[in-house]
Amino acid sequence: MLPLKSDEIQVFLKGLKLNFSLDFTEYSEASVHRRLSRVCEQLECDDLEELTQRLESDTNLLIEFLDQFTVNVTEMFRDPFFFQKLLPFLELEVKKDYCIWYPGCASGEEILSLAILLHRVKKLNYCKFTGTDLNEKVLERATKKWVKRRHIADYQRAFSQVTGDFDLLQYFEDDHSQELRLKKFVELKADYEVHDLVSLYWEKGPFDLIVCRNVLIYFNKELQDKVFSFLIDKLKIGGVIAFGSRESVFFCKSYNQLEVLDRDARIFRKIG
Amino acid sequence: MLEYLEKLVNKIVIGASAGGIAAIRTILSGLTVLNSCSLIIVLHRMKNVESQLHELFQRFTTIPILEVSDKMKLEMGKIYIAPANYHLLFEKEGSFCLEADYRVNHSRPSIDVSFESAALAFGSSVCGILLSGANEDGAHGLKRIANHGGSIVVQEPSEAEFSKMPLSGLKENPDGTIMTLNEIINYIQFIQ
Repeated sequence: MLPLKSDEIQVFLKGLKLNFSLDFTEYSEASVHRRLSRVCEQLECDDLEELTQRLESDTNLLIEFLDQFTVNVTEMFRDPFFFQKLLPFLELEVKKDYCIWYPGCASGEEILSLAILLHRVKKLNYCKFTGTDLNEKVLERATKKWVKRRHIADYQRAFSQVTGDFDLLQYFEDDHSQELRLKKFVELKADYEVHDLVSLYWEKGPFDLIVCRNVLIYFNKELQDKVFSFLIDKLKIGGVIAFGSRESVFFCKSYNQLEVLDRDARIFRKIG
Repeated sequence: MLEYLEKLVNKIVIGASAGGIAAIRTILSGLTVLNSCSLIIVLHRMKNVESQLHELFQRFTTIPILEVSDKMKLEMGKIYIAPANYHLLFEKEGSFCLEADYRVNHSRPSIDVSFESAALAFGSSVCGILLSGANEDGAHGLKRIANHGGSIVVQEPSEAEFSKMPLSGLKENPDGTIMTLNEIINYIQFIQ
């Protein structure tokens, strides 16, 4: 890992904010440090100064930088117990025009996971998903409703943990390529758009369900608090919101607007 | 031993993989106090298994064991376990930070990631200990700890259930101190 200095990182992040309106200044420092040194290595830059110069001289590099710097790792049915806990609430509550927001959805595997589960309980046709992410490259992939063949065995295992059914492939077209596409009979209505949570602004909403798992962890505590409040604002009263299983949301300011539905799975309902 | 004292180690990060649960159990059973340091355990474990590793380990010691949540503060006198399926990093001001990023060395949590982050955040107040394992995660991270002035310890390979991890740790860090589990227990007690 390329060693970077704290003050150099701050200068770099301020430059990004100023020149490209990308604000990572309130991201978690430890994580930014690790990922910036990785990007420097991948883009073959000796230091952040060189990276800055290259970003300024080559505007196409910005998309590449964002793709490598942001965390785009996602998988189907991550934490099967989360889906197990969430599903009973959805079975009871989903009705016509049920709006679901997936901020930080990356390439959309979680949306596909939830869509398949909702399809199985015959609730999917009531639902409309919106997936957002900062990284347009991953969103483009999300619109294709693809999963990678090489991960399918892992996904099947997780799927069977959630449902007791091992046959995940029944929901995917298999044309023997590297990608498997969600079958048409799973009628997933989803829009995808670029959105930066840090802006604390979005014209859409409010939503019935917001699933924001393992997104806030990349922010420092102050920013976590602000984005948390923003998400709660975008949730209907009575709506449900979920976070990652090891996220510390209990200390956020707007936490008192929520009641706990499942503490371990970090599922809450907005009550006020 | 005295040289370690001078460094004022107060954060011990233990990395382990295959054979690690038994080794950590032995260490925990031997510890009586942990007043002036925090012990952080990064163990390769199954993902998507709701495992209660911290509860299992708690049976072997009265020192409080916590599974880490994002932004949790590190406190003296406590033992922390890295949660499954996240990388565990450290912020300079003394809190944890979790990442759901790519696996490193096929692992999440990766020992290298935690060692490197501990080195950057805490410098000479860190001691990295590498135990039994059947892969090479952690060797590189130990080097980072040493480069930042921290102390490094590797489990005596002949004693480890799987020697590959300690051996690769020593290969990259020939100056690393070799200790048996009993010596590691004494060392942790000694730096109190």
